[in-house]
Amino acid sequence: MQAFSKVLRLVELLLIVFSVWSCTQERDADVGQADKRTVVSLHLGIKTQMSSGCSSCELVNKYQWNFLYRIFSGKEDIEFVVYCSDENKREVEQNLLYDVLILVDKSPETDELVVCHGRKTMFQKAGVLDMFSMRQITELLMDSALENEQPLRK
Amino acid sequence: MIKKLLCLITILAIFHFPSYADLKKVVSIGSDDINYRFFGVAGAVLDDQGNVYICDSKGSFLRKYDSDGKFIKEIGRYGQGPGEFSNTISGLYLCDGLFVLDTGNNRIVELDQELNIRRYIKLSKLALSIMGFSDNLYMISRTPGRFSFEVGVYDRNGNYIKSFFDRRPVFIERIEQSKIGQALSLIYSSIAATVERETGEVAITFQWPGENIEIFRFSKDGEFIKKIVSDHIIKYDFPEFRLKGLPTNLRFPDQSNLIMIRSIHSLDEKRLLLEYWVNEYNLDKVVKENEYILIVDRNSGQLVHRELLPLKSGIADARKSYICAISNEGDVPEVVIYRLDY
Repeated sequence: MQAFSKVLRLVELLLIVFSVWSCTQERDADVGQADKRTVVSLHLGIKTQMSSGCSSCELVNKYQWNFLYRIFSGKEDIEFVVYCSDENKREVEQNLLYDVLILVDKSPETDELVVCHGRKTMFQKAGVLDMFSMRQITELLMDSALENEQPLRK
Repeated sequence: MIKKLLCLITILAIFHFPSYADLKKVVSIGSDDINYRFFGVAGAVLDDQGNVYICDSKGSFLRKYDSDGKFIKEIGRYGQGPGEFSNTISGLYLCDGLFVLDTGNNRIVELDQELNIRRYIKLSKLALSIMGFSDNLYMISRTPGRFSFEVGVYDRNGNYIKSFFDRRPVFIERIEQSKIGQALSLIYSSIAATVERETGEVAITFQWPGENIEIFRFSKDGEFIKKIVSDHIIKYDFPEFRLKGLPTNLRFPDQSNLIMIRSIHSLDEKRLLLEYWVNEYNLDKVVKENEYILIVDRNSGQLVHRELLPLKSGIADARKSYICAISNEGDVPEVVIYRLDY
């Protein structure tokens, strides 16, 4: 009888150890998922128009940003976030494509585009995005999209 | 009697209604593929082989495509150094090489047709557009101390030689008195120009025509040759249109039209192409907007052909029967080559 209860305790202990282990595995898996996400963010600058005083001027990086969104927004793990001040909100809503819009009190002097993969900053650029930068960003996002697609292929 | 009437109607129809079916799309460049993607096309030019060179001001790059629209090469990034452009590239011109006006860096970049940079030409003053022929470069800029524009002649090193075209539209004289009138007179004095590729002859027109469209022809050295007048737009299309300057209270009549000549191009030694834009207003609201091309005889100013352009396009270059149009509207900016058969 004693031997049976010892075996029972041992099984109980094993079960506890297993459940604790599986919980940590799950949390690790969650963390792993979060690390795999790529966030592309545009921090709209104060000098966001091509020339001051022109009401019909476009946002300087409008075409560049919308191009990235159209190409990569279909990928599950890439998120597009725009940060802008309240006064630019309407213009952003009318002109830019995005997943998340965050209103901020303080804007940078010029537009800033940041690409983060998990907690790591992969790319950062202020000002107008030229084609050289766009090629860099596109490659980064392509790699990110491919990397995240690998488990699906197995 | 009926036959005569029909004949008259046919003649009237030919003269009054433009034929829009003669502009055939040959190649269209612009898509979401990275090599075909533009962010703000500032200029495009065709060479003799049908290759097209395109500069993009927002992307700070220059590209070459073949006659089928296939990507060949790209150069440029944003900056002030060698191989870099500012994001205010404003023009492209082809003449024994490729010339890019980089206004942000206040220089002209000379390249060969393989997009290898030959040299930089530093500018002494702000140029609005460039043209060239043989050893001369021509730049449109503001006339110092005046509310008008002139064409400056420079050598290939950017050294100033002379200026010509010291004219303003006649109607400007009526609105020049006040401060706002002076500002308006500067706007309404703006000019467009083109250089004939074979002879170097320069043709200049006011972008805001008065009662007629006036075209001034100069030799490659800036000597005045002839003024030609084309009154067809007003005579046939808009008999009610008269632009004699803005009214003093800055209010247009209830119904009015506004015509602007956006660019002029030399098709060949006989023909000039004018690109113009017409807005029909009801009070302050635009009720109709159209863009046209008008081909006129270089010697007589007679109308040769007229064509409607797709809206929101602009003509960047024209050569013989080919027209290179750019459009920065919509989600994907594009460059379209048309063939003009008439």
